[in-house]
Amino acid sequence: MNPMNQLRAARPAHLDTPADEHTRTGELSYAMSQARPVRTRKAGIVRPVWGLGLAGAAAATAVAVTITATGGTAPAPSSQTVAKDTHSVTRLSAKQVLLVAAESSLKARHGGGAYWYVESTLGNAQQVGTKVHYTVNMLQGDQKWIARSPKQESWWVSQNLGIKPAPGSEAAWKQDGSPTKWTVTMTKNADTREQRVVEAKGGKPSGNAINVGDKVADLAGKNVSVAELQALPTTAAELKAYLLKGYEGHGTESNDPQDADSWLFQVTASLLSDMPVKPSVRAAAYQVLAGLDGVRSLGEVTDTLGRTGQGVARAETWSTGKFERQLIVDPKTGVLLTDQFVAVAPTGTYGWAKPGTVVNWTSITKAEWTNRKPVKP
Amino acid sequence: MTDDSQRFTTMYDECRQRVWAYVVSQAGRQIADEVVSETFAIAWRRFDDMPERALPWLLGVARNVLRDNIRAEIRRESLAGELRAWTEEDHADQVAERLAVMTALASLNQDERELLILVAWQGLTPRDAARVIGCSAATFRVRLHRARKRLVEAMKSVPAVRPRTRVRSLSEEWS
Repeated sequence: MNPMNQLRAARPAHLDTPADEHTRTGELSYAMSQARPVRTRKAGIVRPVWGLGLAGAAAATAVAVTITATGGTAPAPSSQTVAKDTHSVTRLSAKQVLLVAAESSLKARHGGGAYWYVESTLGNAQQVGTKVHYTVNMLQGDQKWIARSPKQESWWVSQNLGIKPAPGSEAAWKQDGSPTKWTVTMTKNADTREQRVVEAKGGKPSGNAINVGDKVADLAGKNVSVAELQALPTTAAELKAYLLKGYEGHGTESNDPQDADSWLFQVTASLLSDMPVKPSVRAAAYQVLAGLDGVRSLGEVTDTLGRTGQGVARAETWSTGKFERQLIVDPKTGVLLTDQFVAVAPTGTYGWAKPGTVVNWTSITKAEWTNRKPVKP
Repeated sequence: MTDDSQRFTTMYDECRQRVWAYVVSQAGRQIADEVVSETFAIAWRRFDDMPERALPWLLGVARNVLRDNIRAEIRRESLAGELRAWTEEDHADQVAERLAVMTALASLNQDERELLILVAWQGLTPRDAARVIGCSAATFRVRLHRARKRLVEAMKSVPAVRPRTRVRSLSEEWS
């Protein structure tokens, strides 16, 4: 007898055990709760993301955090009081932190200048190592110029800032022979991963124009112009209502169901992240966040750049497990210093990350109106 | 229900069983449901990319999930249990020949076993099977040929297992 036929005949019968209805329902609903990338909507505005691998579509929506103040703004008396409070035993609730940030936001000046300029550092943790496993941080520097005039181009420039062993990983790195090149698994999209050799040294900046006509940003699922951003409502209730007009029961990047609170948290945070809006709109946005459930206070925390602020966090479940999105705010100025994703119960790509590992972050180091033109690489 | 979710459900009902069977043959029943569930989650996210003939594509995704999401020790342990079941389970029903094939199959290495299973149990053409594994059809044929030879060799070296025969009564014996 032909061995292949013998093999065919020997196929175990239990391989034909069908899934029971419970399993079927569970698997179908789990599958269809996944976010699906939408390719066309924001083609001109989505920025290329280097090394941001959290999870496909979700990573593309990752909210950066912003700075409202343009520097040099004296802290309001009320915020000084708050700053003192943070040293007392009582931890501020998330709601308190956000309301204080709202109040402090109002102290920022209305800025003047031809461009809204945002500078940020982004990081992504990866597990590497041959003899021993340890974590390295892949760093990226971004600059963005959003032109006030619709006649001018808005620009985005990005630079690979290289790779460093994460704090606490230096010893393991030395044990591994202090390499300056590593093989990492990059997530290109939902499930396409590729092995890539990455080097400790950074790269040259690259960039492109990001505006589509007069539209410079995606807010609540809709492309908006600077004029529209400047005309946003300045009370929490009106702003919330305005934003919710874009809510259609599904995520901004996908057609999958997303509850209104979670959607609003994401959209409001993205407004606060890097959009040129009035101080009163920022204050309203913080108040919108303060009105959401499921946000917990982390107390005083330090971001990856060593800056101290008050942290608020919200649990998120992604295809790569459970994470927490943490916003680190400077309550004295209303500046949102950092938006980061911290592993809680990660799986898959991030299965290696111990709970508490910061796997992905965006830290805003500058956000101000300026007359300096985009520096095109 | 939207069009997409209807199409997806149809595709799921057509393919789920075979994806599960593939994962069980690669890594055992213990972790199969988890891997299958993740595979279809990815399939939904990438539904737009899915080729018309979904099965080879799905098996390829399942293969990656198995490799990336399940720790190697767990995979090994679960598979060891499965291979034991192939050769030990349901003794009464096992005919000698089948037992010899399964014992031989269990003795091959993972790669060889996978090639044979894709063709013999999943009924894939070499071209589709090559797509699952991520090699060319020509390479697949060469490797399949080798795996087949190894299976035949292994079957020869499996100690002969006698089929259970009815115990004849003494009267029959001496009549």
